[in-house]
Amino acid sequence: MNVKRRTLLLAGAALVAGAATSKAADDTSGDKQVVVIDNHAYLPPDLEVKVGTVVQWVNQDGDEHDVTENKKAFRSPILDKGEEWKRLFDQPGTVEYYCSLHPHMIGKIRVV
Amino acid sequence: MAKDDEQVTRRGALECMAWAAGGLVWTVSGGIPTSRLLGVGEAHAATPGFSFVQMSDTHVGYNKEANPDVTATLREAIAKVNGLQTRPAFVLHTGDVTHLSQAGSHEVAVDVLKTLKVDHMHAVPGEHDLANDGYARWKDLWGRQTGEKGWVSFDQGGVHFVGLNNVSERSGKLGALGTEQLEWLEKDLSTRSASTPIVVFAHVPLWSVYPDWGWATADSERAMTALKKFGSVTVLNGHIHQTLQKVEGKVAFHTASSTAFPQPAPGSTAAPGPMTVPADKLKSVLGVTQVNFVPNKGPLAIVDHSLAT
Ligand SMILES: [Cu+2]
Ligand SMILES: [Fe+2]
Ligand SMILES: [Fe+2]
Repeated sequence: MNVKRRTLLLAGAALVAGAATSKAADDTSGDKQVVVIDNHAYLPPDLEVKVGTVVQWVNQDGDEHDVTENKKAFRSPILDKGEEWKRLFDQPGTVEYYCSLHPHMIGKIRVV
Repeated sequence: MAKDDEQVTRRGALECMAWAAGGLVWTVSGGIPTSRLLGVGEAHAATPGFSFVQMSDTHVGYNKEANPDVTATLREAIAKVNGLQTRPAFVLHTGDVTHLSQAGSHEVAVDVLKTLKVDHMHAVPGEHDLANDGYARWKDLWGRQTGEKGWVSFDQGGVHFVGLNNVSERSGKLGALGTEQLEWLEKDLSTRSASTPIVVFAHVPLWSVYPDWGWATADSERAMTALKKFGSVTVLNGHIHQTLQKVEGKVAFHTASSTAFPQPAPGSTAAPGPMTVPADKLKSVLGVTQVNFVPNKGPLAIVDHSLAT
């Protein structure tokens, strides 16, 4: 599907920008944590992970959502119900994100 | 503590709202708006003037439970507009033309909207038009009328129209107009006399409908300050897929129905989003908005037409 292609394009853009603290994660080795999207919310909204963790967002809501870094360093494709997207966090720091369709939906990943 | 504050805010927001059901005629005269409920039908302009129509949230490409055929209801909405006794001069589309800006969806929307019997159409973007990197496509199709950045102003029949983009910028948990656009707006309005009737249109409400759901614009207050000098201001928004109105001094705020699917009343459910109603009720919660203007007499009458009537 073009979901994968988009993930790769975004990863490329992030590398060019040189400002990413995380990477698109097609490779799922290492720790994994899940953020569930439901009722227009990220659960948990604030997640602490170890460096090297892959975070997977799973949309369980009937409405579509995405995961957009606050400064647009990365952006997931639009996730429909049942779709998921993951990203590797390989640098310490805090990554804040929101849903581009619903800006009241916010979350953060604290990488330690 | 935070929870209490939140509840106070919610209650406050709800108290400010008046629900509009069925046909509502809204007259603004000398800056003091009044409204009265209509049965079925439309307001007739007694003297020459013009009318225009607001369409919103057509969400072409949506096909889930709340409305599996949004193109069909859009065609019905267009038939409603084409059948109005007072032919509208133009249509304002207040955004979410497409559902997710999927490939081809803007083109489908334009093809269907072309069947409107109006001279021209102005659209401002909704956040759904920006999905899937859709802004480039949106600009290709609408930018010529609306302007590269999604904001525009024009004059018609003595009324000054301003279209704003409040979905490209973000501040806190809300969409925003942003400094560049606000500066443009202030400059644009500074050259108009206070007696010029103003119509402002934008996707997300420019008044605080329900910030917890993102139903407000972070920096709308600065825009409202720039509008303060005018004797008649009408603000037309979409995004919330239901008709709501509020009057604040000389400013009349109004939100339009979607032609695709309804959303819940503010705070009435856990989250906003497409709301499924019984199939025989759907058309009663979809519709278009007609606005009539009669020069010198000053009235600006707003009529919501549901697809069921
Ligand atoms: Cu969302
Ligand atoms: Fe919408
Ligand atoms: Fe919207």
